[in-house]
Amino acid sequence: MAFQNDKNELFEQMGVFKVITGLPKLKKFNSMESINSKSKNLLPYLLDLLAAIPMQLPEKPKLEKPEFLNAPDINLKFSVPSSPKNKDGNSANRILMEILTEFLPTLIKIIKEGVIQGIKAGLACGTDFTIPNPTPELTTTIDKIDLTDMMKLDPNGPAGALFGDSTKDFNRFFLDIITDGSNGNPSSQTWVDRNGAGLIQVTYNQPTSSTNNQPTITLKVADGVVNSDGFDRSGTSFHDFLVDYINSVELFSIKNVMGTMMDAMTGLISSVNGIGVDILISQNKMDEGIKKILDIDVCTDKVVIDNSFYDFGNEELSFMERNANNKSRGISVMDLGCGLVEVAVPLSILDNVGDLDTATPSQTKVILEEILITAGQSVAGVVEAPNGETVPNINAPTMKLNFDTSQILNFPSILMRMVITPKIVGLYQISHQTINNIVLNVSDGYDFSKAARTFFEYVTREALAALLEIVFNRIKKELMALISRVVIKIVKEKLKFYIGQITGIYLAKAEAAKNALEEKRETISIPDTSNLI
Amino acid sequence: MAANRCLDTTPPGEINFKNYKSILTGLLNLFKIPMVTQQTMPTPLILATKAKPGMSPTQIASRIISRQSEAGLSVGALPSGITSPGEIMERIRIEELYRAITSEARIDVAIQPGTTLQATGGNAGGPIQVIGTVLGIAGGNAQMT
Repeated sequence: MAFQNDKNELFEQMGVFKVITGLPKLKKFNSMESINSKSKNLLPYLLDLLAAIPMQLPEKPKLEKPEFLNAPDINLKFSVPSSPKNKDGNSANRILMEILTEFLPTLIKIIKEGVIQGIKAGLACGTDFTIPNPTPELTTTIDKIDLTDMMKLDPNGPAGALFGDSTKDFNRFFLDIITDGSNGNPSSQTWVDRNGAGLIQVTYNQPTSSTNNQPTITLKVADGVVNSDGFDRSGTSFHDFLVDYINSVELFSIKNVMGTMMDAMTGLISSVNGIGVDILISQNKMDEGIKKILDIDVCTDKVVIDNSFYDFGNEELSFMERNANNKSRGISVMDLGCGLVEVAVPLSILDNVGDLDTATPSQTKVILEEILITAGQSVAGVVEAPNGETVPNINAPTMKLNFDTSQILNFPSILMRMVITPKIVGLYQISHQTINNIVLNVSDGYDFSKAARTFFEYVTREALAALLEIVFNRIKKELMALISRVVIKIVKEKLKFYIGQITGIYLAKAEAAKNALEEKRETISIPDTSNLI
Repeated sequence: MAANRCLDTTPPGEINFKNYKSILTGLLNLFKIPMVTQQTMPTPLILATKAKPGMSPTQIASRIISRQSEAGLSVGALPSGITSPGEIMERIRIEELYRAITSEARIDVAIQPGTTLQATGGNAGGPIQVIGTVLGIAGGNAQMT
């Protein structure tokens, strides 16, 4: 209960501070789901807390002066940190925009570090070793590396939002090799680090009868022979290899985030590319697995993360199947505060996403706002009246807030969807081959999350921690504006009463002197001459 | 040897964002406002306080009741004509507080060593002038009125 009590206490403290500063009291918060929840994922709670902090502080309240003090006014100059203004007052929207614009580079950096630590923790118990000679090599079917059927997408269509430039995005580089190879051209290329030194040689192998007429892919760590640049990785540190690789790839760009977000929400890209329901179910299972991981704390909860941890009941499986079927049609059924509604976003929402790669920060903000506004209007813009006319939805602000909040809550899943792609799965597989001399036998993201559970859990927690830090810092900034007002009030109060004490003494002295004069007047009978003047 | 994942290596004063307790503690700590020390009153002014009239529970209660409107409460008798029980209660509360402060509260005074001392006296050799400091701790009592 201490966990829930702490969460409750924070709201109580904030309520007290709001009353002191003359702000409207908080709504009843003892029924808030995020406070009573036993989930150790604090993201929903922090978002509720942020929403409860006043965005606009009222004018400085005038301190009432007790009459008896009759103290002079004090004109103290203090600076109060200004609370950021937001025209629509939607805290979730602001956070979402901040994550996408200001904090994305930090988020990427933290997740990149998490991937390196996760691979080392999951495969080598956190230790380092030297890459052997001959350098590690694996040959496997494409589906062991492409767990989400990403390589079946058309990068020239809406799915282009999920890819980047082939010199930075390993997924696009990989797709180009597969496309060339499947067109019958011999296809083998080297992925190089930022200094141009070879890292991994990727070769497309044409289907043969021994591979059940399936094409295969060979990944080999650069040995100076397969790669034309002549750089040999044997004898070098495995850790350095991981760092060089991770630094060479663009883990994801803002364009990828928006594409993945829209696809995760309604299956926008999957539906037009004919991605199978089984893959969508596996993505749903992976998302649910992420939620389960984040709901617990392995250090305080008595839970063991084994295969059974990822099992789901019939009801959950049935829900995931329905959800996957909906997404294969490009829709999603969501509860945005007004009951379950079918939600879909137009494909045109991704029209300007490609511009994000080259946009300036201000242009990026405009494009993102357009996308989020379009998405918000799609889910909550208009409703059909009984007479058949479309009218503005009166629940739109609530639905928009819940929509933006759900995007933030889903952010760890969105990040993991971008991680479980060939650029990282390929690296994991070649690391697995190097250490265990075998390729991990997985065919989808859900299988991978179970088989590589240490890595998966590690990166998932890093992703959440990075998000929590962003939201925490925003809360801190907002709270400091509130707290500083209370501090100023206390300081002013102390000074005012101090001056009041001094004034009180002089007033008492003056009163005593007046009384003494009256007494004297009566004793010597001085005539009252005031009426003569 | 694998590192103990539950071992918190975050430096003191920093927040470990992978630990929910650390996050909640960090937020709760924001509300801990440092105490501001009140300015000490100059001694001559303290000596002048004997001119103060002293507290009156009636005056205090009436001032509180007259300021009730600031909190959005009505002042005066109820529509039925009877005196508001809230206002009666306010008077009782202040009277009891006053009684406790003046009859039960105790003020112990301790004067630290080092107070400057100047005295005159005399003996067979003539008058003696002494200038020095008090060596021991002096004590005293006070009464609030």
